Amino acid sequence: MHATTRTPLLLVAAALLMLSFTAWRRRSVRGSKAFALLMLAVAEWVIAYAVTIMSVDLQSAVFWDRVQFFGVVSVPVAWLIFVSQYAGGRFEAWVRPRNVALLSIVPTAMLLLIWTDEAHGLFYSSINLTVAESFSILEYTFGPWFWVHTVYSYFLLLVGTFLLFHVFLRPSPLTYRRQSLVLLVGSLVPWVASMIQLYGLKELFPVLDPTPFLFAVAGLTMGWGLFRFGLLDIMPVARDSIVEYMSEGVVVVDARNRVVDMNPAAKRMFGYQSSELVGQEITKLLSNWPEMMKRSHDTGVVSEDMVVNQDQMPHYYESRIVPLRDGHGALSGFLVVMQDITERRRMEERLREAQRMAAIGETAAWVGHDLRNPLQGIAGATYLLKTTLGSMNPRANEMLKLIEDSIRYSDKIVNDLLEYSRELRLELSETNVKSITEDALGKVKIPKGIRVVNSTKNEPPMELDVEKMRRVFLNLIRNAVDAMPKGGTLTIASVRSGDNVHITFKDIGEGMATEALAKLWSPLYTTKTKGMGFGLAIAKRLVEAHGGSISVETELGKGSTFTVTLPMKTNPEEVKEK
Amino acid sequence: MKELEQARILIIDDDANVRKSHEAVLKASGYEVDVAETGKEAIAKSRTKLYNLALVDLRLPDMDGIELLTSMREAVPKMVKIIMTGYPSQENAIEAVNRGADGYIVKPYSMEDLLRKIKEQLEKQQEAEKYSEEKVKEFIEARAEEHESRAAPKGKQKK
Repeated sequence: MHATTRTPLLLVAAALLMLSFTAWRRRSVRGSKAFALLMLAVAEWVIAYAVTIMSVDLQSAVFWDRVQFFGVVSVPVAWLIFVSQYAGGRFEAWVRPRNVALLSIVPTAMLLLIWTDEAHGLFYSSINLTVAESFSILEYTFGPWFWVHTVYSYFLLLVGTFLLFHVFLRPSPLTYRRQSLVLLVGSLVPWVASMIQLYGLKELFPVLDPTPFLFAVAGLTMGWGLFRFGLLDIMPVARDSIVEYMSEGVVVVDARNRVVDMNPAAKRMFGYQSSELVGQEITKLLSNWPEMMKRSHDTGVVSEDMVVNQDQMPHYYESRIVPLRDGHGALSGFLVVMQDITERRRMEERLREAQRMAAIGETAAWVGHDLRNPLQGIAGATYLLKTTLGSMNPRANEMLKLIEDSIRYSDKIVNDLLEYSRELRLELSETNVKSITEDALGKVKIPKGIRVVNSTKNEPPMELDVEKMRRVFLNLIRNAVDAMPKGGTLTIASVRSGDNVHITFKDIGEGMATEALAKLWSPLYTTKTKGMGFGLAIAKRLVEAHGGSISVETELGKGSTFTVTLPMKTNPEEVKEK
Repeated sequence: MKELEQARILIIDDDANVRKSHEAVLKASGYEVDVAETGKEAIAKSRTKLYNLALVDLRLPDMDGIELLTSMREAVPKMVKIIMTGYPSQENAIEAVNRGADGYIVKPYSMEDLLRKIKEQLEKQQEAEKYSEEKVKEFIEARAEEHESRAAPKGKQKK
């Protein structure tokens, strides 16, 4: 007897459950869970209603009527959460467990009152069941609490609908506008229905309650809207958060070159708050804007690299200007998208530098080798002259010795050049700073006026290429000695800090001028009248190969202190990367 | 040491200045000196004349100095070969020794060093020669004695 009413209701319920399930499967997208809950609540409402009207005795009718209310009270809350999350941004900020719990106080109280109605009668004033031909009608008059809940529910629904209005009106691509329009229409169904009801819908639905039907229609409409226009997973929420969280800076500029909006990344790049800039001319940020815009007029999308100084450091950005046009093709503004390419630039620079150094190295090796042959020719000829002419003429002998000295010195330069250009391979073994220092000191002729204080320690044990590190120490010691032509004290000390050991070479010599410091570590630079110009460059290279660093503090007239910092354990992997 | 100073030396280097200066220095030191610019020339010269010692540059226009080590004609006494190079590496040093080089010297070296090295090598060569001459002599004498002692009983038998 109930089939005619039951079938459409159950079909609607099944459709709602399907929507709920589909949305639940996409629950990773914000708003999906709330939508799933909303659809589930409406479905529960519809099913319970269907059972209520099919009941034949008062007891079961009342029972199912109460069951219905689980759905009834959940709908407004779920609706508001869903719309808020759909709107996204600042509108969804309130959706937190605490706030949802607060919002659920009234519905929960409502449920409690319904299920304990026998005790107080605050809900139903009177109940009566009429069993009609095809369905049963539970007739009752409502107590005061019913009205409290109804006002509350409609308030939440109203807020949600207004939010949807807002989403619909804000500028966004067509798909989202269509989608929000369908949602809006769906949400309006219960409102329109309520209006009609006020003006005699009773005649259309003389006995049945139309509300569950209307919500079901609304729900199905919205479900269709969501899945028809781009599904839940590309909801505007997601779109907004992409712009919000993307690492590229995005600035929206209107047709009169004023900043309209910018995302957090852009704020970071320019170091401004958006509130400071909105309404300002874009030229304040980008000085070459007029020129870029002009090009954008001619060619459409313009791409350009630019430099912004940020915390005293130049940052490189690749910026693209995209003209925005409205539906009629008129220019409505520009989108400026900026990508931080600083790291890329630095890598490129480093690569270029490395390539340049490799080329220099190759050339150096080639030149160095080829210089040895002519040097040998000179050496041979000089020897002959020395043994024949030199024995008779002391002045000539002196000059020939000078030539031989120069050959040796040239040979040293060639060797340093080759050394510097050669690929480094470390042969690590356990050693300590004291042993290397003593080793190095044993190889230097310390002039009379110079005192050496060696207070290095033989702790901790370190892993180093002994031969190479000795060369570093040797170079630094020689440097210090050369810096004190009038005599002085060279103090060598070591101190451990954490996993590193600092070794200092302190002289009380001439010191260096600031302009000398900048070029100090580059090859072929020297302040000595007769120096090799490679010593420090080689020292730096060897120390860095060990994963360490070398630095200098100097004061003109007071002396210099070179500090070598070495890790206790050299990691060959790390070295390779360098 | 008169014999030593008359030793014959072949200088093989494509650098004219090296050839000329070394030739002059070695001649002044009393050696008999020939020069070759290429590997081919060196091989040809080693066939017409015996050299006590060769100074071989590693990089020659037509071949590798190391290759040249094995393609020059072997002489008696064994020719001393000293490699001189401006392109030293562990690899070519090892290969040079394996292919029969007796010395390896890196340019630019002092002529004193070179002369000392040459002298050392030639003395060694001479000693070896003397030693082998003595050995030959001893051998011949021993054989002769053997022969005599063998011949004597035979003679006795005949008698």
